[in-house]
Amino acid sequence: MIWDWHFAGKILPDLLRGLVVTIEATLLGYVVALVLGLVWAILRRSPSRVVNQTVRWVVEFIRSTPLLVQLFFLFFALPSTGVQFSALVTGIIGLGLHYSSYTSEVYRAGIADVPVGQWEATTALNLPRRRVWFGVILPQAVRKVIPTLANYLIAMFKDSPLLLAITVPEMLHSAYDVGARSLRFLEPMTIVGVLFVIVSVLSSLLLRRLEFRYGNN
Amino acid sequence: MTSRRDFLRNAAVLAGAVPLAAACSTTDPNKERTGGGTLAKAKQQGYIQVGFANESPYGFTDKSGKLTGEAPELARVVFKELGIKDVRGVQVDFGGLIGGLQARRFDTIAAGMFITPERCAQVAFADPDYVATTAFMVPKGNPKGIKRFEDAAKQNIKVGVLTGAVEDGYATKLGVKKSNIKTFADQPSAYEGLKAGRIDAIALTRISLADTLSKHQGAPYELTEAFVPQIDGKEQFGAGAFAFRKADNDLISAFNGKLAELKQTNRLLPIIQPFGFSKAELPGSHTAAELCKG
Amino acid sequence: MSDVLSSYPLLLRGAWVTIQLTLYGSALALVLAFVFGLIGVARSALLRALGRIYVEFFRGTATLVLMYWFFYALPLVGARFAPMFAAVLALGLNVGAYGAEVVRGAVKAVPKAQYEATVALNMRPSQRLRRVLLPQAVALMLPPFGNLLIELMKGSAVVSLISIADLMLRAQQLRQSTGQTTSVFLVILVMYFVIAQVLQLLVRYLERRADIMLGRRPGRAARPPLETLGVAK
Repeated sequence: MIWDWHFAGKILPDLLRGLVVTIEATLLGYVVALVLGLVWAILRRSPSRVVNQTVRWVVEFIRSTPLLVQLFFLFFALPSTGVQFSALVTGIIGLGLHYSSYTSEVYRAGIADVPVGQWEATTALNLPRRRVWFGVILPQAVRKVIPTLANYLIAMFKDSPLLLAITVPEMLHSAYDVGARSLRFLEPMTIVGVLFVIVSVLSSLLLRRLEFRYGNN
Repeated sequence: MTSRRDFLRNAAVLAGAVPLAAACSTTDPNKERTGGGTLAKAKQQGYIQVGFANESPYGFTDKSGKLTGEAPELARVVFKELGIKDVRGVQVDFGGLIGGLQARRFDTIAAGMFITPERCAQVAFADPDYVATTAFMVPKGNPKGIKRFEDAAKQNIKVGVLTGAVEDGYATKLGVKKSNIKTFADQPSAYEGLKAGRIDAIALTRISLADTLSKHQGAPYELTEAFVPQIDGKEQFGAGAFAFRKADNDLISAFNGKLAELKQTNRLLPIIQPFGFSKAELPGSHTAAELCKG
Repeated sequence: MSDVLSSYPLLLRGAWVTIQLTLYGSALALVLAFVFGLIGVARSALLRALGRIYVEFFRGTATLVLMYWFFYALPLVGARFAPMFAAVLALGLNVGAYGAEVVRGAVKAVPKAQYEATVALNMRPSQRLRRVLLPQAVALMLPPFGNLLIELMKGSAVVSLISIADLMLRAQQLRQSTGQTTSVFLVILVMYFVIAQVLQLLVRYLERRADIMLGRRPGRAARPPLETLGVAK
């Protein structure tokens, strides 16, 4: 028989260990992307041309170049500047940085969608800048774009296998190791493939419910 | 006009079908797992595929993209005399070499891989084609006077090694504190680490270090004298060899036969010398079997 | 740095492989997108369900996982793909699934009135599609297709992990043979950026053409010749 169920059962713990790393990297990378994206979006509204054009081109550059190249760049070139992070942390920074270029566009669209009246009201009420952003504008802007932002979490999950290139022991890496050790690639690779599809499909179903709740208000 | 469109469409379909036919082939699932028959297949198709890890000077591509290095050049000579004219390289990262071999992405590993008992459990090595001595790369003048691992341990020196490389084990077993051992992904990264002052020395084979130094002419670094680490009274020889799938016995014996011939007729050294290998690195009469025992 | 720049032929060869992957991958993705997108608006519920399965499955896979599966697992079930074939297949299947959603959405977004008009004019379904619905849908599809094209180009970098000599792999080789890290990566980042911007320009040009074709934006042909306006020449 080509498929060995017994073997598949035996290797499942190894693969699940890899899944834990995958989830770790994805969630932490997502947090970085959410925060950094917001920073970019706010900086883009800065009145200083230098600031907002620099941010614009930096974000465009990151968005237009492959994540894999950025990961390698961070992994190999960063240490020579004095900072050295573990492979996992480098991967999280890489994912977060790359996806922040997408989330910043999403935030910008959300902020632009906030009715002008809201801005005018904050001026009329003489609210300090921090209140303007955190109390009035952002809650409205972000609420509208929650579904789109959630979409990027799923996308990031599917990009997480790239981390194996910088030696992070995530799920695909574990599958490869198992296969290399035992000469049986079929079971680990198929299981990992199926796991990815299951997680993605479940997440997009959840996402559709989110869209329902937040999107059409 | 419709006839021209039809013609174009038919032409496109046909044109697509031809490369498609070449792009897929059938395999025998059982044979995939057990292997064998590689020598005959390579002779018949006129080429053999070798895996390399893009590591200078063992197996790498030069600036024009051509596969070269100690192992590939040796492979070219050996396989040509076995009747296989062409050697084609498949590049994978070092950690993917054994897996790639098992998955039949290539038929031998030409990366100067060290024979270790752990690796012997998974693949079959040919007899070694070189032995490696260890050395340190230090700032010019060797300010801390490091000669062997024991010196590094005594003086609390930060040593750089490559991930998964044997020097990591040597350092730990000879007393260097784990917190003083910094691992790097590859040689260029280790060099950057030394330049940035995050380590005081790089511990690697003399050959690799000499090659790294040759790329940075005029940089203020030098190599210490090569030595063989002694752990528990045993000399740790690093011997590099070609790795094959265990089922390819005929290929391995043919390879070993040719290699022995090259050694006996003194033809091995001229092949590997251009890559920085000297007489000190010639493998002598070590066999894979004895090195697999550890 | 000069070492790196003088090795530009090697990098150009890598860039050419990247461009080829992008071209073939997007050709396959385009075909799959139309096939499965149109299946998604078919009348048969069974067909629609089958289309849905393809789309959900391949949208849910990661391209790299698919490539690894083709590479390592497929030989163990009886077939082996050449590396380029496996890469183009993986890229095309994945992006094609996203494209199918775009096609489906665009066809559904064409105003219902257009569809009703074709029924009133007694057009056959194939005529309806070809002459009325698709041309309008295509204009809607172009911006998201443009994005997908660039995503595909970026996604092509993972082929270096299955040893295809694209720009990313050539960069690694160059890094080894020259010892330069930062300069090599900076150079290829710029090269990828340039390729992405060129693709952007191409897509924007196609968008303009589509708009002109639909009469949404006056092109050169739409402006009446000066003589008829009574303007002396």
